[in-house]
Amino acid sequence: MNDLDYLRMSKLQKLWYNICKFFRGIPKALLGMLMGILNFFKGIGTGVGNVCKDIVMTYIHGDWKTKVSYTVMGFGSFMRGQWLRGLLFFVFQTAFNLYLWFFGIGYVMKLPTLGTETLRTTAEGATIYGDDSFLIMLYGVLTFFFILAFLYTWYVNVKQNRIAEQILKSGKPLKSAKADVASMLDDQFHKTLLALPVLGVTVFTILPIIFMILVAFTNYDKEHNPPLNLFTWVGFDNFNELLSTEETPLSVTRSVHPDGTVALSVTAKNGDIYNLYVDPADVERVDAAIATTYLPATEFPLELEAGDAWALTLTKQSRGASNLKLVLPNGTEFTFSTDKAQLDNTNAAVDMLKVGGVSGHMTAEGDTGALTLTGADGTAITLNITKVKETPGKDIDAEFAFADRKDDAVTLARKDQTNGTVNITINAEDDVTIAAKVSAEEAAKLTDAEAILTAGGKVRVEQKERTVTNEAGEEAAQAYTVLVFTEGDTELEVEATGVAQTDSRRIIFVSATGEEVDLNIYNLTEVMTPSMPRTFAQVLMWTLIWAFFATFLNYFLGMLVAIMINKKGIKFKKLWRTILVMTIAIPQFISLLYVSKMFAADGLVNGMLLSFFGDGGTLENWIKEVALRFNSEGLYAWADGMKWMAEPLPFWTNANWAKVTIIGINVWIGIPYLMLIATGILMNIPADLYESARIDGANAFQTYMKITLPYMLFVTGPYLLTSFTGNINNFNVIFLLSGGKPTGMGLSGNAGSTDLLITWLYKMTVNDNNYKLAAVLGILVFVVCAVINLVVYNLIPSVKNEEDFQ
Amino acid sequence: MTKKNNIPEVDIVVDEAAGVIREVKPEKHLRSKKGHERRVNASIYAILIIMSIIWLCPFVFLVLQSFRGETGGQVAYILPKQWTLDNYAFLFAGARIDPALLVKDFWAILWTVLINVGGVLGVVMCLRRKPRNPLEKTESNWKMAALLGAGVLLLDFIRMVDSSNCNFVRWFLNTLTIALFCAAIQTIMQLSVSYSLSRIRFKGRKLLMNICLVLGMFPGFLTMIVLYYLLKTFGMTQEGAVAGLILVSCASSGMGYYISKGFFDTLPKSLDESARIDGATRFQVFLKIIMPLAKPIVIYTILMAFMGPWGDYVFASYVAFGKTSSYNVAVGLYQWVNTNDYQGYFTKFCAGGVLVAIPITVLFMCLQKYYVEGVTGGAVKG
Repeated sequence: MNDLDYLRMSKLQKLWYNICKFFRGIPKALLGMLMGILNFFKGIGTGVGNVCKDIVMTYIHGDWKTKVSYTVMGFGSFMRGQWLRGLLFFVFQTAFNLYLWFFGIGYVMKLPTLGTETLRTTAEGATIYGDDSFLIMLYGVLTFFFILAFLYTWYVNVKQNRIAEQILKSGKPLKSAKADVASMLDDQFHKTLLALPVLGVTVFTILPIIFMILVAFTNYDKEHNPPLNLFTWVGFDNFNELLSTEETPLSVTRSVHPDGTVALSVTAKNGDIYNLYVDPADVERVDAAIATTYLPATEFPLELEAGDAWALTLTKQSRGASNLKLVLPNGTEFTFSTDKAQLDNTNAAVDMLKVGGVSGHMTAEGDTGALTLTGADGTAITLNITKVKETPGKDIDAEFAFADRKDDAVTLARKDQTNGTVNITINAEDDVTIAAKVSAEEAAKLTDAEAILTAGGKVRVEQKERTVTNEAGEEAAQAYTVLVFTEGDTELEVEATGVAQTDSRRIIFVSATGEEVDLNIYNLTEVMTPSMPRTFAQVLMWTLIWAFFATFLNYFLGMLVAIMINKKGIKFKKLWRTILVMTIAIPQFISLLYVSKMFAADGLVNGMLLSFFGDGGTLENWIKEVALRFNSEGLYAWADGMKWMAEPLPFWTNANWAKVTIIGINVWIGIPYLMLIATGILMNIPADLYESARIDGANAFQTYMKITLPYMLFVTGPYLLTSFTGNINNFNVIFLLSGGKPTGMGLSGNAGSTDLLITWLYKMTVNDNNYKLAAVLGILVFVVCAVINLVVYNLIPSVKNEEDFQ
Repeated sequence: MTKKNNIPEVDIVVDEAAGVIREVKPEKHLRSKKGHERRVNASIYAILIIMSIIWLCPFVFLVLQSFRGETGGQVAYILPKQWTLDNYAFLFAGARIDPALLVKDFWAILWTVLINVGGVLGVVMCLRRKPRNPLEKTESNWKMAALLGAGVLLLDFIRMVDSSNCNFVRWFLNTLTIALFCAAIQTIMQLSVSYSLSRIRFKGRKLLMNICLVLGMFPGFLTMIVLYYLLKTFGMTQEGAVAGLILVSCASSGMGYYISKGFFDTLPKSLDESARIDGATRFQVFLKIIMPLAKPIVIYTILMAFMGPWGDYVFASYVAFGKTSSYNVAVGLYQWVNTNDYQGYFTKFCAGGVLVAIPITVLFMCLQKYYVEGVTGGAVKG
């Protein structure tokens, strides 16, 4: 298509054409990105090749001074009279060797395992320091940096020799030490200037980032916190935890509340966790379900028969302490340790197992206990075991489903009380459970009701009203509740009190053998905790929505304000600007913390709203006063009966309110920046553009759309990009305003509804010590930012060229 | 319509159909246009006034709350029922000035000597230099000397304050120390990086810039724990948190070179070249030609570096964890409003906030011009 074709198109077609062009451009941009990366590696490859060639050629053609320099750095320079260079090379080499052989090498050697010995206390009470995975990794990485720096310096040292030889061959003198120093302020000035910043960035930015990238591949968290518990490499497990949609093994844990309610925590196959509360009446069935199909909750003492397929293995032995693993036929694993004093016994037990025919008996309470093994010949060995840990069997392939009710039968369960009243629980239709109390008189009807239900009847709850005579002899309306049992034409009303309907569903446990146990569950929807991947998706979504609004809303509003202030005829321009700029000048932790408190439930905003719009507030009194003055009873009654604001507005307690409030307050913080930027740029728009537009009869809106906006967008394109990625990482606003709250339902990993990826990362690091996931999250934030940046950079060519501005 | 010649303004319209030129009295039309303009301006004023109120209200409330005598957290009224200065008095209770602290022990003496001798030497250096030719200005040297002297005196003063019994003064002085050091070191770092990346073409320059770009995309708090351990090995956490914070924020500051590089890019290269031809070394070019021209961006960089530490909460709280005497204002005041005793400390938080905000705001307002220049330039260049 040529320009003429384009100009001929209608506006809509042009728009469509541009949209198409944008999306057509994306594959090309991605391809360009890929090629860039490939070229980068190609460049590295050829670079390394050239360097190697250089080194070899220098050695072949060099004289003996050069050759000695290959092992004793700086020798050649020193012998040729460049004593300062030579000395520096030599000092560096010595320092490096001392560091490497006396310090660094030990850490590098331990990198593959990240340490094996934990900190422990000997029998005498002395503390023995073992390895520290953290330090191993930190100094390991640092040593690698040093090795790279050494290799580079060594190469420079070799190259210096070659250059010196060539200069001497051409008959010129070499640079003296004094000239060397002088050149550091002249030709080599950039090295002087950059030395400190580069060193600082390497040690305090690059080293930590590489460290954290490595942490993403370990299990470094609260449970693996050195030196008491070491961490180790786990590959991509952490990425899987955060991103995978794979099914996780199903697991159930149960706990009993003092009131008899059983709480179940069920991890479903997609990783979502359901916290369920089971009716006390169902407790036995829950136990049965768990015991028979689920987790074989191991009872102590545990008997191990010689014929059973149980296995005891020694997993690790170090410094006399042994770790052992016991596997039961149902897949349950126990791990435990024996101490140094029992080393011989432990080894004897392991030997005995090799002979076979061993039966055993284990008791444990908490994490300590005893294991007695009896061999085929009757000898018994008893081991005192510590750190006993039970891992539920993983080989049970249990299904877990919130199944629909299998039949529509409505059932009624009754519990007769001593005073004649009856408590009933009815499984009604649509997963509704009705609990009610029936008086002694009405209870007689229940037999009929049960008959109706058995015949396939239904039940519903109805509110009714009747007229009663109260103590004063007046007739008054009284509300009451009835349960209406219906089956065909038969209808039976049973009056009941304390009627509660609960939405309950069934949870069905299916064992590997196909056995099914189903349970009635309360409160299903309230307490679901989604899996980490789902939480991550939600947090990412909100991060992007936030970044979008924080960038573009501020951008357009800020521009609007700038246009208003700069409009001809508006006075006190400087005053307006100064007032707005206040939010930049005052440290954010003061302004944002204060504003956050202002919008709290007991804050100023809610207080004022309540005192004005609240019940008995200013507005109501005022209307009533007016009504009284004008004798308008209708108005008075209206004001009296009106539902005035009773609750404070949930600025921080409701997720959606909090999001909107944050975006709103961010406008308050953000507009001034944009106002300043836009002011500077608006001044630069050639005035004759506006002049000619006005002559052509364009109105204010048209000039804005046709001149101001395109110009602004063109000039501030790069700024928009940086500000978008900046907002993705905008920690302060979220942290100081809402702190990520409200938390609770719907998110796992302690994330709150207004948490950005970056604040979530902060929480993981500081509150949960979940460093591994924080590291993964950091990498993902980087990926998100990098993708946005690369795509935009490749789509807008004008952004790329820095020299254009010079 | 000018009064001088009193000629009524008219529009001339070509009526093609009639083929004549007519004169139209435009008075009514004009008035309506003016009225329209006035209405627009009036609504703009209205919007601006409302905005100003919204923008200023929280700060006015903050100041008013700091004078509130009634205890408790937020209240539903604006004007305090009981005015008091107790909240401010609380902040300073227990602090006193004790010159003996300057020579308390060996390290204190060493530090005092170092600062003062260095300062005096610096001031002397600034004043001693005589202009080589009569055209050269000496004005900037006076300013430099004054700035340096004031800085040294301020550092001495900070060290004279005995704040062992007064948290807020301790926090304030901690922050001030960090801010002063950051302003000096970060500015030097950023200017050297941006100068060499902008004016000198050397091998690996593009690579350095790309590395900075990539590093910048990693979220800042990712590396918090590693930095903490690094600082811990140097003893720069808890008790030494102030030094640690200075070190960390200065070490990586070279990466924030974008805005000043953008400024250097706009200076014509011929300046350097002609000076080089005249025999100046690069160092001389940097010091004597570029720096005087770069005054706005130097001031912008100093301003930004100075203001940064006042709002630094995250890393500061992590490094100073549990050691109240090492907090900065942000950590200390944040802790006041987020403890269980928030009700008791709220008005004190407001008073502290006011005391922190006033110097920063005044400084910012004075140097606003440079800030606008930096921000605008930076935004255009990206």
